[in-house]
Amino acid sequence: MSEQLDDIQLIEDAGNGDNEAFGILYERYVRKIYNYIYYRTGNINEAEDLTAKVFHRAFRHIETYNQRGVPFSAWLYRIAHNLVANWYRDRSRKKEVALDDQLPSSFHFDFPESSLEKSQESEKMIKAIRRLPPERQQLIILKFVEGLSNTEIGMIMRKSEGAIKSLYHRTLESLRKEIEKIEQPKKNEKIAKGRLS
Amino acid sequence: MNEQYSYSVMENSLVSNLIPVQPNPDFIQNLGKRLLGSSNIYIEDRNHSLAFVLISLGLFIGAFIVWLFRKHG
Repeated sequence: MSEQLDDIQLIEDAGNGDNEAFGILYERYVRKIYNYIYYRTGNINEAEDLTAKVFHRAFRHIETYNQRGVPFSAWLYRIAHNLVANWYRDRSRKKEVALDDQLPSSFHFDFPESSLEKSQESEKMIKAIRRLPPERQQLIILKFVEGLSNTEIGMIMRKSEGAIKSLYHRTLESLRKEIEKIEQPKKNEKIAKGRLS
Repeated sequence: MNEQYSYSVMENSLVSNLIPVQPNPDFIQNLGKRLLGSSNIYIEDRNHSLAFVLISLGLFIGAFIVWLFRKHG
């Protein structure tokens, strides 16, 4: 709550041209926005580029923020969401890669324990998430990467808490199906190998 | 019950796999500098008045040429 009050004061100061106030807001939220964009795009360069755009846009329009009635972080996430949506649209126009199945090359995590199994599980999960519709991807990332509550997610996605709960259950169900689809060919392969040997 | 179990397994998997990443500190620092040092640099909307003047001038000249041709033709 105190952070919220702090935000309000900082936004007011930033709106009056106090760059230091905006700097504090930037430091407070830049990593969260970066993470959100990184998990939506799966690409470090795009995450950096779009994060920069989010904060440039926020900086330019900070005076108009007060009238919006949502927390500052929710406002930033909405800007990020719109920019990511534009990025996907531009990419699909260029048809550089098929978006459905493509797991970006930068989505390979270095786990401290260097566990190959864990890395594979992680890639499978990310692949399944990226097959979901954008709204469901957004929900999963906000909930698990950003650790936001249903109420906070609702503010960002312009939905009630109940609607978020219901969407969450539908998302888990579709995620389960996507994971099964990814696992099925491997299972079939194992069965075939078993028959041969 | 089985569905509940499957969701709970999936939630645990999401928690352990969706780990927040640390952005490059240089990127964070440089962006901060660029932002806060850019108080006098704004990407402004295009000035449409010049385009309006040029188009009007083009139309006027075009109409004048047509008028000249008709007059002498």
